[in-house]
Formats: sequence, C-alpha cells, structure tokens
Amino acid sequence: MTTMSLFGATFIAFGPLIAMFIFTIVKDPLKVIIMIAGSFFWLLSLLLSSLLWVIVSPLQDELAFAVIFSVIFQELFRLAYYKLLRKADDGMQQFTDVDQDVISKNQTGYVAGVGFALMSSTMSTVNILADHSGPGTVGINGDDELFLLTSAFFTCCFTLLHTFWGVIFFYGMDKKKYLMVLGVVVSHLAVSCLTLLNQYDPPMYMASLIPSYVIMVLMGTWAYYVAGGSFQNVLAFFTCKHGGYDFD
Amino acid sequence: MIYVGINYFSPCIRRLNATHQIGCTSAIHGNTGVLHYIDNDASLNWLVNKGPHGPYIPLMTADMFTFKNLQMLQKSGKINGIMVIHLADQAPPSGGFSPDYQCPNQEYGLYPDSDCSQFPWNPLGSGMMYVDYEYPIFAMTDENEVRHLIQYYYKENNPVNDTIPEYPLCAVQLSDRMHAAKDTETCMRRSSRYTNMEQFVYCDPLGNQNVFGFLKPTNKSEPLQNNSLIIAASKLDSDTLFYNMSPVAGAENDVTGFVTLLSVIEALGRLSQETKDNMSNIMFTFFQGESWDYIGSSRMVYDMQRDSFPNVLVEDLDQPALVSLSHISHFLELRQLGLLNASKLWVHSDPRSQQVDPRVGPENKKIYDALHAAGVQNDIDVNRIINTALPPASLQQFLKRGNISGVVVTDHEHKFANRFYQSRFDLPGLLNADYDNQTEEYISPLAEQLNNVSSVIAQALYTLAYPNGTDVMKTDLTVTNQLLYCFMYRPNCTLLRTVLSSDNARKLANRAYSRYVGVYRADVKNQNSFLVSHLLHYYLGEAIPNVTNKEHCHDLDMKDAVYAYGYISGVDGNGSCVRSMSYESPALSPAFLLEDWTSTEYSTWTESRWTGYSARAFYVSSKAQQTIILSIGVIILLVSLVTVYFIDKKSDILFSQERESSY
Repeated sequence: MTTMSLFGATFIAFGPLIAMFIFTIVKDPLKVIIMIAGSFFWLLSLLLSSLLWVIVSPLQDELAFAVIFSVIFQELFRLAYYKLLRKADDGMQQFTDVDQDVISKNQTGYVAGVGFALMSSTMSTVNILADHSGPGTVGINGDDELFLLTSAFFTCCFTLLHTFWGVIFFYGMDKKKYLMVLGVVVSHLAVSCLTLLNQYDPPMYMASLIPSYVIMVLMGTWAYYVAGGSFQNVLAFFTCKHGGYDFD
Repeated sequence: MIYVGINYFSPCIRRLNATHQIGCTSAIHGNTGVLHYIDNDASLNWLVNKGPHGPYIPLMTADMFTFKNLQMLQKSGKINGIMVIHLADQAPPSGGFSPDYQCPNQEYGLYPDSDCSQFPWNPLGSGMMYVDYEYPIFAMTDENEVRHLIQYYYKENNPVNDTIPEYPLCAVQLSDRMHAAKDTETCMRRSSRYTNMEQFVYCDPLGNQNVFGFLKPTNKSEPLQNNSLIIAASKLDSDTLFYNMSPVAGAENDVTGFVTLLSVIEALGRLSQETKDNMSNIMFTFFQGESWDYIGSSRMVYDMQRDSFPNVLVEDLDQPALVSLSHISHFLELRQLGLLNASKLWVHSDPRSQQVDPRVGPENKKIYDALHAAGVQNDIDVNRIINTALPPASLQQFLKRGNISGVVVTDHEHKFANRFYQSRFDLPGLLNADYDNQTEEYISPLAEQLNNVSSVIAQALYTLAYPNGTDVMKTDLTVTNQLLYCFMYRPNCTLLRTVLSSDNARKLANRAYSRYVGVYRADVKNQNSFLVSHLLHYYLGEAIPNVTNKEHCHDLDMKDAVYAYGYISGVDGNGSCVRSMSYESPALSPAFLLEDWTSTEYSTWTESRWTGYSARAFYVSSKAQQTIILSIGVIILLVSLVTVYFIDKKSDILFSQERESSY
C-alpha cells in the first residue's frame, strides 16, 4: 500500500509549511492575504517560465536553460511583489484596528516568502504525490527507488529556503543593501542548479541534497540575523530567560 | 513513469445461472500481486511453498495452466489473480485441454440423471470454466508485452539459487470488476428495481437469433401435415474460458458443423423447381446459444409448442404455416465433423424414444440407411451407434418434449475427437485448414474431406425428402472451401461480399468474428447469424426482377409477411433483391419470458455487466520501507509543529534586536 509512503512524503514535504501556517499566519487575516497574493505572484512567474519554454521549443530538452530562466523570473516576481507591497502599505494601515499590532516590514518579507514557498512546493510535489496514490512506486522504467523520498526532502528544503529568501530579500531592498538581494539570487541559482544533478542516470541525490541543505541552513542563519536575532537570544531561548519586554 | 500499461489481453468474465455465479472478477480498483513466472513445476512449487511476498499474480505458460495447478495455487492462498500466456505461434498443450464438463450440457439435456463417468463424451474436460474464481484471470495475447513481463521477472523477482528476491519487486494490477453477483435470480431482481426513477442493470440474459429457412414456401392457408417436414440442424456458437479471445476459437466445435450444412443447402437450393415440388419440405436450422444449455433450441421447441413458430398467426394477413413438433418427420443434426478417423462418420440416435414410440425406430433406421448409402457413393464409411445416449445435441431439446425420429451425425464414436473442446486452442490449424498466408483459391485438406461429408448429408436428405428421386447430390468443393475460408479465417472474402449489399460488404472484417453467442438484444443478430441469414437468402431464394435498390427491396419486405427479402450484391456486383423463406427467431431462453429465473427446464444463463477492464505493471516497495517513510514524515511534522510553536511563542526573545520597529 503506497498510501503510507504518500502520507509520509506529504508530511516531509509540507510539514514545516503547515507548522508555519498554523502558528504564525492563520490568526491574522492580513497575513493570509499577503501569503496568498505571494503565491499568486509565484504562479505568475511559473506562467512566464512555461511560456518561454514553449516558445523556445528547440531547447525544451535542455533542463538547465529552463531552470536558470525560471529562477530569474521567480526573483523578478519577488521584486515585483515587494514593490507592490510597499505601495500598498497605506492601504493596509486602514485594515488594522488601532490596538492591534501592525505587521512589521520584516514580517511582510517572511509572509511573502511563505507564500512563494507554498505555491512552489505545491506545484513541484503534488503531481508526484498523486502518482503515488496507486499501488505502484517508481522503478519499472529504471528510475531510482528513492525518488519519492528525495523529492519530498527537496520540497521541504525549498519551502524553508523561499521563506528565508523572502526575509533577506525584503530587508535588502528596504535598506538598499543590494548585495543581499544579489546573495538571494545567487543562492537560488546555486540550489536550483544543484538539482540538475538529479537528471543523470543514476541520479546523484546525495550530491544535490546535502549541499542544498547546507545552503538552507546558511540562509536560515542569515535570515535570523536580519530579522533581529543574535546568538545571545538563542541561548536565552534555550535557558528560558525572559527577553526585553517582560513585566514582573 | 510509475506504470506500464498492458493492453492486449482477454479477461475471464462472470456469468450467472439459476444457482451459481461462475467465472472471474476483480476488486473494485483491481487486484494487485507480485509477478511470478511459472513455466515448470519447480517455479510453481516455489510459489506455493516458499514465496514470502504474497499475494502473487503468476504469469503461467499454457502447459502449466491446468485445473490441478490452479487448485493448488488457490489452496495456498497466496494468489490474487492469474495471467496465462496465449501466443498465436505456440503449440497447444500436448495432453489436450478442455475447460468444459466431461458431459457438456448434461443438466438441461435429455439425460440429466445419467452417470457421466460411465460414458464421458469429453474425458479431458475439467469443468474449469464453471468454477467461481474470486480473482481475475487474464490471457495475455501480445508477444512483446509477454516478453517484457518475463524480463521484469528475471530482473527483479527471480529466486536465483533458492535465494529470496528482495524489494523492490515487479507487480501487476488486473482490473475487471463485474457488477453482477450470486445468481441469475438475484441479479435480475436487482436489475429490475427502480431507484429514484433510474434503473441499474447488472446482468443480461445470453441469447441471439436462430436462423432458419425452408426449401419450399409454406402458407398458413395450407397447414402442414403431420410427419411431413424434415429438419436439418446445426449450431452456430461455441465459447472459451476467456472473453473476446483472439484468435477466434471453435473451429472443430461449431464451424465444421454449420459450414457442412451451408454447403448442403447450396446444393439442395440448386435443384430445379419441379424436383423441389416432388420433395417433402426441409427446414434448415441454425441454433444460437447451444453451448450455454441449449438456449436457441429450447426456445424454438417452446415456440413450437405454443403455436408461435415461426410467427404468431394474425387474422387477415398472409403468413407462413405454423410448425409444431408433430409436423416433424425426421431430424438430422450435424455436430463436430472435422476430425474424421479413417473417413468414418458416426450416426447417433436416442434409444429411449425408440422404445417409447414404435414409429421412431424404423424411421431412425431409414435415416441411417440413407446416410450409409450416400456414404458409399462418397468414400465415407457411415457407421451407426445403437443403445448409447445422444452426445450433446440440440435434438435432445426436441426429444425432451416429443418423440420424433432423429439422428446426430459426428466424427466421433464415443468420446470427442476434439481434444480442445470449448477451449481457446480449438483453432483451424488443428484441422489441417491453415489458410494463413494462402490465397482464397487454396483448397485445404479439411475442405476436401468436409465436402465429401456434406455430399453424404445432401444425398441423404434428398433421399429422405424424395425417395423416388434420381438425382445424385454432390456439394461443390469450391463452395465448401470458401465457406471454411470465410468463417474460419477472413470474412472479407469473395463469397460473403457477393451475398451482402455493397455497403455491408465494405464493413466485413479481416479476422474471423467471435462465435460467442453474446447477450440478447431484440431483433439484433450477431455477425455470424447475420452472415448465415444472408447465405440462406442467396442459396434458397430467387431473384426478383426489376428491383434495383435496397430501399425498394426493404419496402417489399415490409409488405410481405410470408417471404423475406434481402438485398445482395450478386456475383456481378450489380445488386439484386432476393426473396426466400428464410427467417430469424429469437434465441432467448423461455426462462426469461416466464421470468422463472430458477428454472431447471430452460437455460438461465446471464452475463454480468462491467465497466472496462485494464491491466498495468509497476514496482512495489517493501512494507518496511513504506513504514519508514511514514515515520520520518510524522516525525518531521511533529518536530516542525513544536519548533514553530515555540519560536512563535518566544519570538520576542529571539528577535529582540529588530532593526526596524513597527510603524
């Protein structure tokens, strides 16, 4: 019964996303809107990438071509969404009650990142999961049997990566530190090109997965610092000390 | 990427009768099983005794597909379905193979209580096709697909040197869900229920149309006299364990019989009108549905008993005369005729009717004498069998309800010469009638022998109908050969193109039509009944002058209730309208008319409905691997939930140095 694998892979792929959604986004309707709009923007980038792929039909078999341009389009649309959100700041002010906390600029970056992550992971994984709803698993045509597991782990990785990139990108644009933006683009290209290693026969899953996770951890650390964290905070977190705003 | 479709196969389907369901079905979404290749006893034993990855779906060679092996597999409880290899160029099992009973159709015949083991007509019969299998059985008919399946097996699933193969393993899923269940009565009851103004039908009765024709016209204004009509009969259908099988089987079983009769009709039809005027009338009959407990013949007798054969009489309308059992003087039935041993033909009659009715014995002898004399003229040694029951034959249905003089002519004395009765191996190659790669002019050895047999029958019928006649009846070898070619090999042949209208002739197939009777649809003939009906028009009829198109011919047909009209192309290709006394009558078991679905007197066979069948191959992983993936997933989900919860809760600690405060 591949139903078990199906559920396992779904949880691996969407676990972090579900957790983030439930605990940080769902309570605030404004964040939900920002997230969904972010998903939509990612979808637009996918549309553009597919159009390019259809138009440049001679290169349809060259995955590298499609991947690089897809990354470029995704980052362009992240930029476009950033611009849109900043313009809409005034409008969003009107939606909030006076005594509720308004969303900080860093948080919009985070939520936008989650939106991108949601759509990106859905589009890349749902077909694979649907195929695994029957009794069979990958292999009869010679493909590697770890395909499902690796896809799920990659999706998990990309979910977190998109979230972190959202934070870093928006902060970099706000502070006009364009080197950070470049860093996001370069690391996105790096990870996507690493996945190209998977198309060979036999596929080099470990060679692509492990560096991707390393980059993800690096991005995570960078985003944490950008968002206002520090090593002392982490220690404080673990030793249950209270932070700045506590009242006795 | 995951699934490889399997497209060329024939499934075993489910049928029901008064008390049982037989055949195969799958679960709603199909039956999945690990592939195993059984080509010898060792691999069979490995599966039964050792195979740990069950359930399996074995791929069996035809030699290994025996009832005994099937029972062994079933008892092991490890199989979820079976695939059988059936390729055109493979030799049939050397020991013969027959899935029918040892005494076919005994229960609804004339001798339901006799002990079959004393006189088994079909000693190789295992009764396999009447078993209720709870799993699907598919016959694989494409060479490439079979080769791929065997390759997958040797790559992954083969236990080399007694080791247990490891996951991932190749598996297949077979899907042919049958909607009907339990027995005919249950199914018909469920099918006649209305739910929310809708009716779901789960099964359909088997049946088609009997085809018959008279040598001379009859009219109800001159009713038939008792003992004035000769019936010459044959059956048109046969079946196998698998549905829609290719190549079409039943060569010895039914084709040899009805082709002989058709050839006889051609010869007798050629006689001059004056000769025919001096003869008794002969009704040539082709029954449908005989394999499934005599559907066609039992219905014809039923109609005869109720004065509705060939049609119910209506006032003020010119109609053919009624036929009933008392009008029948002699009944001559042709059954399997392709495997003559030393040119010997055997004439069977029923001992009981001879004892009961004093007229029957001498008349049976008369038929035999006519046959014997005709045999002498045609190098056929006609022998008589006395004091033995009739083999399975439509005559049994007539004798159940009346004492008439009748014989069954076959090529076997006691047991069938056919070692593949009702199986998919009953093919023309068995009979020296291999028309493959031959032109239409090629005369097969079977055609030559069968032509002698048909000359014997034609001469005997002539003698019976016209004792003082002097003609010598010889059937035409070209005609016999063409009939064999058209029905055994390719319907798109010269003869059939001649007897059909040009647009129908264009639709003739290049491969033989299946001779399974199929489900009953009112007024619809299956392909073989349709072709035989047109051949009867052609052989027994006369052309109507000055009718040039099909519509005009059809109009004439509508207006005339005595004659039937058919539009044929003719030898020259210009169409003509032919008028004859050849008709159809419904071959639907009286059990369905009477709605007596548990009838023990009439056939109650129905065929289940289904929505599509399919098969595919793929890999499966071990349960352990799947459990691991599930566990990892659950762990990651839980860890994520916990982590994000705490991060969110303590976000003020973690993100205290926010470089941009809220605005």
